Amino acid sequence: MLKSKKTRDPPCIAPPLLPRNRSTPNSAYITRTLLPRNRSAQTGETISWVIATLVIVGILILFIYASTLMAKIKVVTFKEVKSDLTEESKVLNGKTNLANIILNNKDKEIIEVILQNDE
Amino acid sequence: MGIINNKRGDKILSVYWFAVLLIIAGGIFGMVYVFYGTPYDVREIEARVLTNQIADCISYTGRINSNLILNGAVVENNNFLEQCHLTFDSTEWEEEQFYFYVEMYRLQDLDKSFLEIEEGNLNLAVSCSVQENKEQENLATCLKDSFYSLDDANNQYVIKILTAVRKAEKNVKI
Repeated sequence: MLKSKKTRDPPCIAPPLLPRNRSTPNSAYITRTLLPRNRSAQTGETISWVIATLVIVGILILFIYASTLMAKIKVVTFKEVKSDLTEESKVLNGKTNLANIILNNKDKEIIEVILQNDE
Repeated sequence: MGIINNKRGDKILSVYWFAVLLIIAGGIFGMVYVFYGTPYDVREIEARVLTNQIADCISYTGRINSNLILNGAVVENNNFLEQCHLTFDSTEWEEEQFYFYVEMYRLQDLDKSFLEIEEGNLNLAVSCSVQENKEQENLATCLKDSFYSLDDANNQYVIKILTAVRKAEKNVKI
């Protein structure tokens, strides 16, 4: 809510209403001109914000790099599609097993070794 | 008192906050763009499906297709692609994106292939030999597999299948 003019705080300006007498100089103007301008606090705060900005930018670059690496491994494999797929249930293994059963093959192990060597 | 009235510092800080906000927003946009801009690579699945289809065509129930080998002899003039219901020509691509190479060895003679079938884009075969040394995602994805089967005369065969799927434009960010 807006305050009425009567209740509003007095404006923060240099006191012009003090008597402009050379014998009693304006104390506000004296302090403003004579006080040394120490800006070390401002400088410190600025440096900390600059470092904070650099840290933010650094973290962002790290995250972008991480997302690039994650994007590279967006490869969908057969096992991801059928998570219950085991080595035994591979289509080609099924065919080999079927042929072994038909022939009542006693050299199953040898054939398996041959097939594994090919892979 | 006059120093307190100076709002220049506040303005600079507001601009700084706005700049930080923009940097963070840009960073988040970059991350999302990089991750979701990269397509999923499903060529390995396509190669597996092609391998399974070829294997089904060669030997469906443990016996080799009689249109390929009959009584221990190779049947000539077999149109393998037609038999296996495979069509590699596509209007979507200028050149064929698939390749396969089937070698059938008799178990008694594993050094010399008994039957060889090669179809598709022959240029992709080179990609497979390169991929063996170092994986290059821009080249075709290759898959090697083998199985064992019998013909109608109970001759034993080891069948090796090499499949290659290119489609790099749709599966890899180039």
